[in-house]
Amino acid sequence: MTTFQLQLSDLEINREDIYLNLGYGGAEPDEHINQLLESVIDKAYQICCPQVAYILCDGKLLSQSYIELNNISMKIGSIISGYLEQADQYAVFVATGGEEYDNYLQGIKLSGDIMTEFLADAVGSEIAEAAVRYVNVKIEIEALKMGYAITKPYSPGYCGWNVREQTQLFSLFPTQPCGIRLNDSCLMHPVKSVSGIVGMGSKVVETPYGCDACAMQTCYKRKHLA
Amino acid sequence: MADLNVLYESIVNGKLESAVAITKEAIAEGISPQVIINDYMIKGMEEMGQRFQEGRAYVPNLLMSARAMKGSLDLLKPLLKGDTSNSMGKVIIGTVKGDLHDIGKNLVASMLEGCGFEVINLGVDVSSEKFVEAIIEHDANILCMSALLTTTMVNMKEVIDAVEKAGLKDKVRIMIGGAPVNDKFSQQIGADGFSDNANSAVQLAKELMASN
Repeated sequence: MTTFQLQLSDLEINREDIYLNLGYGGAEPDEHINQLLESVIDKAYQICCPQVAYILCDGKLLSQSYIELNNISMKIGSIISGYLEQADQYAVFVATGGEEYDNYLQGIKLSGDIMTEFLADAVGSEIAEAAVRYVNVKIEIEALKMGYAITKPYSPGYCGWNVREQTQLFSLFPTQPCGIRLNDSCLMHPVKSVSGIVGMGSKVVETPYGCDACAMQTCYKRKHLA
Repeated sequence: MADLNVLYESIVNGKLESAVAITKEAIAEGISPQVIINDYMIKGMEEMGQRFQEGRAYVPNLLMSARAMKGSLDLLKPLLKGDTSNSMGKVIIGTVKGDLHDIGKNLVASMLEGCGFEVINLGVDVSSEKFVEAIIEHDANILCMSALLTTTMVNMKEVIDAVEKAGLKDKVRIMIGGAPVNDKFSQQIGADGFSDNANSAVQLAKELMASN
């Protein structure tokens, strides 16, 4: 397992993505809300210790819905299988904003300050996404060394990959990679964590998250694109 | 003398401190809590909701208003003890089993609370059993369920089945929300309604209470 213990300054935090998380669409917050948001971001820079890790796996698609990685079988669903079809190798990753930020979020929640909670939640989501972008760059560097391209990352909970399958995904790692643990419902703690898979291969193409290839009419990404 | 129009403006503009200050003044002057709540605070929330619907305000603005509303309501609640005439209804709310996303659900909870509903927030990753127990314990009028994931939205159906099995389907109205759900899904699983934002959730809750 390759692990990176990071500072928040190692990640590229995109404010426009935070505005999107806050429901602004293409608009920007007014001055007062922006001040509150910047104070949350400042706090995040003080306390946040993101971590990412990945492992490279041999594997193969067993059927339209199943994949086997390092002899562990997972049901990833037909949509993701389609995107991974051309892969010669796979990278499985975890990325987290870390326990410190999670504790900060919990503290705000307990205080009952829903406004700050909402802002801190949006910032936490962006931190987790930025950590995913970071680990994907590292995975792409590994892939390029082998002459491979990479797919987009795909995560349990999306595109028909059930979160329950996260148990199998985590069994590929040593216990609690980056301090992330699963609860009884197979959900991750710290909350602002992401796991997923990336396909690597000479024939893979990075297909944008498109709705044409996906039959899931109820997907929230489809809804937003509509 | 307390200028309650300032209270209205404070709720609309999300100014917690001034909302609390005027409310304290109004209480000290013996103004009826019902008048303060119904004629100024709820009207302020309704105005903000309208602005949101029209795209003139955003979620954080709604939250600022809800926070100001809550600050004032906390002062008024002790004066309403035993008086249920101000309660719009009792709501159980939670995110379904397998899903940890709670911020949208909390926003709906705050808006409902701000608009006069009594809200029992069960949190996230809530099992069918917990939902049913809470409905019974609190004699709830409305059950609100949230899910963000396409893979967990199906658990809403399990909760509705459990509510039905417990013989509560005719007693409680069921609303669902969350990014992946829509009206068609709501009908498929036997919910009474769906909303795609916190403001329309309040409107739907009012409609469901009126149709009870």
